[in-house]
Amino acid sequence: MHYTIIPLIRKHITGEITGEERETLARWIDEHHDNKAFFDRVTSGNGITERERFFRQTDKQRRLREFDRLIGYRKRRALAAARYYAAAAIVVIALLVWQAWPVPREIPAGEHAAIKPGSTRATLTVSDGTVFSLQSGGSQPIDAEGIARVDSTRAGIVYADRPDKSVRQRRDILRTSRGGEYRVYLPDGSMVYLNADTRLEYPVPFDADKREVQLSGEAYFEIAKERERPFHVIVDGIRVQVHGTTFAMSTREKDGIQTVLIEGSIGIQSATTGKEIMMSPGQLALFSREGELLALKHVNVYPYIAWKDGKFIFEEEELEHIMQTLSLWYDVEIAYLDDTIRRHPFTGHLRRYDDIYTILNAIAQIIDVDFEVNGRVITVKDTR
Amino acid sequence: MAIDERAIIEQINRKNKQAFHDLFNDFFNSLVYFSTRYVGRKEVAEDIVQELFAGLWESNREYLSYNGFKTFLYTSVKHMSLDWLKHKKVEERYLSAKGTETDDEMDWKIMEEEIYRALLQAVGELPRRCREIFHLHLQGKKNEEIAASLGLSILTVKTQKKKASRYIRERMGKLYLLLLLLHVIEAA
Repeated sequence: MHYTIIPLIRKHITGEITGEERETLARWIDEHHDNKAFFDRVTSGNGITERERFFRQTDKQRRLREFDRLIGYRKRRALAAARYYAAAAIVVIALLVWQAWPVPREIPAGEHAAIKPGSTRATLTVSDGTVFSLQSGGSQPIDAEGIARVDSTRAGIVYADRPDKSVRQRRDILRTSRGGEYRVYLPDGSMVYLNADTRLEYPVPFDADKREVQLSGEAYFEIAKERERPFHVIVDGIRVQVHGTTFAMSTREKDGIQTVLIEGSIGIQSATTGKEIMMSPGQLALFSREGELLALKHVNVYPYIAWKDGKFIFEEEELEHIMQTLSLWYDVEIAYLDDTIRRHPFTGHLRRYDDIYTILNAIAQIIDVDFEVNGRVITVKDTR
Repeated sequence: MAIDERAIIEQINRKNKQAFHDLFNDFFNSLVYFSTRYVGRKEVAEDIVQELFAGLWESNREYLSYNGFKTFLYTSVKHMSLDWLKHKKVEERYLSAKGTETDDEMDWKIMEEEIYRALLQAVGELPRRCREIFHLHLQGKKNEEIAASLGLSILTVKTQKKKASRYIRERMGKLYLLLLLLHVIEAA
């Protein structure tokens, strides 16, 4: 089977074929008279017209509906269903984990009262340098123009969608510190959920022809679709072009900038090469800070965004990475007595708003590790 | 490419609903056409293809490669079609279909179907005006004929044709993915 020739013949027919491909195709045609006969037949006959006519007459839509019913597929709700499924799986796994370890080992407590999980708080800096401290409660306008207000029910800051020409454009900076998280509902209806120690900068209102934000840290994006006004996320050496979509980004991976696409489509352009990489849902792209593509692969996306639903989902994740996540969320420092333990993988589903001892106990029950808490420092020890 | 193809196969092996829905959507027409070449009746062919997909969904078979899987789809349709002929005692058709076709011929048939499948999907992506002109072009119509039948100048037809090619090429980013999903692109 000459599978590699299929796209070349198609490109030949649509006129997309390039020089090198043309040569490859020509070589293939010359290789054997059967090849030539085949090429002539598909390019000169009325095969395409015949199929077009035929395809119009099939009962595909009805058959597809029947098939969807058989497999239980539901359009558009597929993602919601996947989330529900994920949540169900978490419950099951967590129960299994706890029952498998009936006698929990206690972690020496030390002075631990000070360590708390993160909470809904951030600061907003507007153009003139004024800094507003945002907490969760209340629902009040926070800036003089009344464009932004805190909405406690949505646990974030909401911008009014006012294409008012009289208001001068300004640049707002939303920052969460270690142990903070915050949502922002931008004037176009898009939502960005900032994890701890994250900074998002954006103009208010957006430009007429583009929506551009700058990110460092980790955030989850749900972008409102606007055909005429592309949404861009700029991070170091890359620019993410969004076409109405849900995705998560983190700039704090050791190796660079990590983007996970949940739904929709995005293209990531490298500032250095100018090349754009298109991502499809379920993919993870890793870029260096300079904008070099290091990896593009399919992943189970949920662990990457579970934090937004108040969960930590670790799947075969290295302890060091897990501790780094905890360090940001609980605002603690991590020290290792043994370096070998850093690479140790842990799998588990935990709750993000739990006390840190619950989290540490759960980890210590699964892998051979002990934690010692002193003030805001957690020391990790190998117990093997 | 390998990554994406492996991912698709993985989704199919894992019984992902979206993957199966897309699969049905992408292959149904071509497979029905393919089957009709044996059984001669569209409705029968549709039943066969639907049965094939239902079987795939329920089977525990795992697939190793995308190309292998595609070949499997077409050969399964062929076998199911021949079974139908045999069952219906349409001896003449059955024997002629079974007896004279070599593996090689089967391969060419699959390739032909895959090319047309890819083409129709790619063209379906074009803007309407471009698409109309491109259709006529694909049907082998000359520029003059296209211009006459659509009431356009020859120059317009030429520019639109160029635009269509360019459009497809420029959209290769997105189209590339599309074609990947359609499993048309093998290696760059």
